[in-house]
Amino acid sequence: MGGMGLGLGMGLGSDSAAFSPDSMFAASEDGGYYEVSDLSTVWQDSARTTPGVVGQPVGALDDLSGNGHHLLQATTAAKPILRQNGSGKYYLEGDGVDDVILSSTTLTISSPMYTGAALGRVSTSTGTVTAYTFFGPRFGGTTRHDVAARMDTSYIPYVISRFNASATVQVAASTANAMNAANPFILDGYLDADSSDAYSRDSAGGGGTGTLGATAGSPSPEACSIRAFSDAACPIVRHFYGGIAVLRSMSAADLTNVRTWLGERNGVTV
Amino acid sequence: MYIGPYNFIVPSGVLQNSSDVFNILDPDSGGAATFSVRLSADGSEPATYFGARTMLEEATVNALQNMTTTEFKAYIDQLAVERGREPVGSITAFKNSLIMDDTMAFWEFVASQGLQHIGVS
Repeated sequence: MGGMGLGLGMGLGSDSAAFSPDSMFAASEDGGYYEVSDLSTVWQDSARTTPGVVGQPVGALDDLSGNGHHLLQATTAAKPILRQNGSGKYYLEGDGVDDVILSSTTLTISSPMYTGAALGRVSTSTGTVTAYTFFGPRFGGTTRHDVAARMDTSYIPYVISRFNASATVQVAASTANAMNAANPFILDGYLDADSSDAYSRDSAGGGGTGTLGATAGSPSPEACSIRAFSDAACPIVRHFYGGIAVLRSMSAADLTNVRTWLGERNGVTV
Repeated sequence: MYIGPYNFIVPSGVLQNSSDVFNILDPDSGGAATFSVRLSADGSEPATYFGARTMLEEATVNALQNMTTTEFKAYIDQLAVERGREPVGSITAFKNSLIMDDTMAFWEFVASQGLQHIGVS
């Protein structure tokens, strides 16, 4: 009985049970992926010698892709804290002040490229409209392919991804697709030759899709570090469960698999 | 074991001295960059104060909160040797100027000092 049930469930759902982000790097694609729940990849120090402990600062998060784009922070004041939520899932919590972890190595962004992250909020506070970047390759202020969210006055994230943009967010799922306050969520952006598409989903089913505007253009080929908590002063979205950034084309099945994997990091059903 | 977090503000005039001290206090190698949050009275340049929010080792908390200037200097000199860090000269300006808090959210603490963040994202 048990075996039949398991088989049926796997058959009807996605094949995420067999999916590993390793497959996104099988042809030596550049990029990285990160999974906080794999505690063997979490370190207290930037030299990656002292294993991570819940409640303590994190100085390194290993890149699982094999490309060596480990996310590092050598300044304790700028280190996020390792946390575990009520569902047993691990995440990094930034302080909304100065925390950021980033690779000392770089990748040169180009099309096609995919960036996605599993994130969470810390409050439902209200505030001014602004945009914050959470994860992805970034060089300086404008060359980037990162996932960001613009908050409305209720701090509902409804704008998702940007490419080579400064603080002006280019992509929008409509406000009708706004995610619900306080829920964990995933964001991604995929750029190929035709367009750049963005996707969001929260744990209550909110979210939607959007498309980059005409200013998406061609990527500037600067070498970018990969960062989490890129806008360190973001006051609301400060939980990072995992993420992936990879220079490759993505089929519809690839997108579904990666989004499902991201959702499994923080309890979001895609 | 780290405890905290703790909020800090230092005047820009003692930023270098404060950075030199935290280069020793931070067990990791990047302590010199601790005070990275630019602050001023009206939120515009130039920065007149610098802030940080950080976890600290228990021994560091004790040193900052309970030691005299003389005791703190001896402590940090010893720590510099143990950690192979650049020793710092006088720490008097740092010790006399450091504003430390563990009761407020960081931005509330900043506001309580009559300061604002420069260059919000």
